[in-house]
Amino acid sequence: MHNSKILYHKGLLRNWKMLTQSQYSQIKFVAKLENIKGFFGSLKAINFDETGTFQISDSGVRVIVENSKFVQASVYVTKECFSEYHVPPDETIQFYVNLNVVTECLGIFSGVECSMKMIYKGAGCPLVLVLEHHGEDDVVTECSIKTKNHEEPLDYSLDEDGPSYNAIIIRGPDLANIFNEIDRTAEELEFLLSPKEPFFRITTIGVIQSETQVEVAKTSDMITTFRCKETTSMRYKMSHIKLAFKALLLSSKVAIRTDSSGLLGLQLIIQSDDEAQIYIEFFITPLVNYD
Amino acid sequence: MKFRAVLHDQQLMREFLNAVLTLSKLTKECVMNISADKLIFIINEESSSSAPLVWAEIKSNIYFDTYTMEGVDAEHANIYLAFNPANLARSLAVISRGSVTYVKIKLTNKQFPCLTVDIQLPSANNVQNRQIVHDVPVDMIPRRDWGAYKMPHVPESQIVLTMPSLRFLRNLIDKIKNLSPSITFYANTNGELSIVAETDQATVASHYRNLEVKKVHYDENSENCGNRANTEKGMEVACLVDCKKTAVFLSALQINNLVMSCGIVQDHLIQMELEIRLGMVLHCIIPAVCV
Repeated sequence: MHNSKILYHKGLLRNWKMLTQSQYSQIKFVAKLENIKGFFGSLKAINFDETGTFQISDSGVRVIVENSKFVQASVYVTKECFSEYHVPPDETIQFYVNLNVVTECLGIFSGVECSMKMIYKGAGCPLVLVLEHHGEDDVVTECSIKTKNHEEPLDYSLDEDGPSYNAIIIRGPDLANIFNEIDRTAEELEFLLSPKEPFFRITTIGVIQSETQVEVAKTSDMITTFRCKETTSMRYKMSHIKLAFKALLLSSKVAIRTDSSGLLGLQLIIQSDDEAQIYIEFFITPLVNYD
Repeated sequence: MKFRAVLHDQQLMREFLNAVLTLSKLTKECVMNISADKLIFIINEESSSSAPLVWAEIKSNIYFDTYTMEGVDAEHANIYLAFNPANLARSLAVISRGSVTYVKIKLTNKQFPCLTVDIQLPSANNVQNRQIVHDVPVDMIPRRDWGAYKMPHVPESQIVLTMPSLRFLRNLIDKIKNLSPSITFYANTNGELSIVAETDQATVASHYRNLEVKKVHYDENSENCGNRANTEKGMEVACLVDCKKTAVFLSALQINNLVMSCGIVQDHLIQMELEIRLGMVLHCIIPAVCV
């Protein structure tokens, strides 16, 4: 925030704490993205709740959003995406931020290509984002966003070695098309994965028991990998599934995974031009006790 | 009372329409002050709560091909009308759709006072020309109320800068609007402009460099400049204004790719000026707010 510090001395900014953390001699985390487009788009896609947790480790940055313990979404940006990346080895940095503020700040140059530098000094310090636009205007925007101490997000995991672990990989745009066609006003949605016919079936159940069904055969072009050992079928709330729609539109490939517990894991690879990839992961809890 | 103005040039017509459109985005009622050498559209601040004080000045002898007017009497050579700019914009809308031979604007009395907009459209063979006539109802403002629509007294700006690209600035302020109710404009004689917002959640500061300094006005008598006053290094000014008002003005502008200048009077106001062409200027004053 070196440009903004000057303004503090002129009395235009009052909150010194947001501008500097002189008590820390070293910056804990610095990373630079050359183009924020992918990161910004993904973050917007999972911004269904106000607060997000940043988890920064040796391998990349993960931003986690939860919806009252039913749905967890996270954006994972690998280290390779960044042109510059420094974190202390073997340490995971975690903090909470208001994600609305972050997306608002990232959108300041809306649409125009710009680079971003993230700086975080340590617990209690703000997350500093320095956005720089390379073009006709010589402009730098410095955002300093308040962070809070983290509350550990839930750790969802699927039993990958279990007998009923099923996983299929489907092309993102095709799955998005399917979701466009099904009845979105329905209350519940059922995913069925099976090694026999109908292989992969999505059923929606509406308020007055109206149903729509979409079946995708194992041999379909849109399925690239099909690994099913046992038939699993589980219902989810449509309002929970809907939270993933925005992200689905950005994805190039989606892995749909489930196990005997019924927990639905969606892993999305975000379309991008270069090698470096951004992933979005959703965990959606099933509805229990239905006949 | 008489008023009649004619435009023949397509480009000028379009600019005229754009100016009226801009006004219509800002307010439901605007006042037109017709005098011998100038046509002034005024939006009074009180007429709508969120709009800033905006006025457009059109020099009659430069802009119109024919311009005749007769005021109340020799002493009061003005006409003051109030009308809804959206109505006028709608009657002029045909201009944007194709070529127009001429636009005549006349003050008429058809049971009640009207601004009659008479537009002629050429046809292919130049024989069956089409005539479109709209009557926009207006309210005559009695002479005793003229005082309310006098041109505001504008203090001289200490620094006037050429603003960065309009699209950019509009986006920026639009995003900051969601974060903070007020923003600070800071400028100095080195051509630096900072737009700063501070809330308990975040501090956002955008810094522009290398902007053209159009004018510097040293106010020797002024003491309230305090420590930010004329130093040997140059001068700097700052003003805190309402973010929404600024955003309303910027997003109402229907004129793109034009150079806007921004003048700042220390702790008093900022004024933006758009010279659409020689003889047509749009002004906007955004007063300072207190914290």
